[in-house]
Amino acid sequence: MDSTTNVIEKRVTLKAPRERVWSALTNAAEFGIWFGAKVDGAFTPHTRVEARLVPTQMDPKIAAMQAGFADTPFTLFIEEMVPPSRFTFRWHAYEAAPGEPEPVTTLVEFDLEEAEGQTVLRIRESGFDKVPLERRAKAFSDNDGGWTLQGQLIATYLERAQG
Amino acid sequence: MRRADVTGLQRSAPVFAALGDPRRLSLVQRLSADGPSSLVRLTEGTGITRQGVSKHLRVLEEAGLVRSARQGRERIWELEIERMQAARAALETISAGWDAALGRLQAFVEREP
Repeated sequence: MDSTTNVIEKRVTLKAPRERVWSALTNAAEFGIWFGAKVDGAFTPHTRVEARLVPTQMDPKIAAMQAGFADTPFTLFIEEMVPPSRFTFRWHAYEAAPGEPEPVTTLVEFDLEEAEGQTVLRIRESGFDKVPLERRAKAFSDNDGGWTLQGQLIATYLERAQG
Repeated sequence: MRRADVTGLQRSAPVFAALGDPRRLSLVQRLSADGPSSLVRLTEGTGITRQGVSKHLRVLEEAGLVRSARQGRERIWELEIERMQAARAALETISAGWDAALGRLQAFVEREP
């Protein structure tokens, strides 16, 4: 085990202009479509936004997979918005039970770089050393194989979309 | 939330805090490579005192990552493998969640506007 136990980092090149990706991340309605959430209100810096998990509008097969954890509430604490290059928020994807302290948040950072008309997107989620991790993992894994199986469905979906 | 979940929860948070220190990480790596070891052996080459190493081992023990047993005049330390694996599995589940979400983001922004 190495020092990555506290951080998740992802990097992906998207075949879309940076403004398009910026909009998909920071327009609450667009965010809801790909993330699979119903967001109440707009994203603006230093505000708190309530959201609920909903089945994705992207694919009926995946939507069926997500139905099991539909309506799970979560809160986004929007921090920085520097268009079109940096968007950060804090969140916790579970509710505190009665008597349990307010859940600790992790920090999610999106950094966008332009690369010849495409966009290099880096995502970093940190702060897991402070978070009761099993709770968050559970929120995503409860439903019959959850995110892992969903990942396979998405790969199939992308291949089909490209083919 | 079920009672069992609360217990799991309370036990999981210190794991990542315990691993957040480079000296504790190197102790874990050492135990992983060498197997059960005495305090004397774990102190060798670390550049910190036996008391210092002992203090770090206690933090790891409280997080449930290592355990110790007396063997003759020495105390032998070893890894709690299952606990380590549970911690890693939890993080991997979240990581897979991001992979899936990014797959959807990619499909969303790359289709015609």
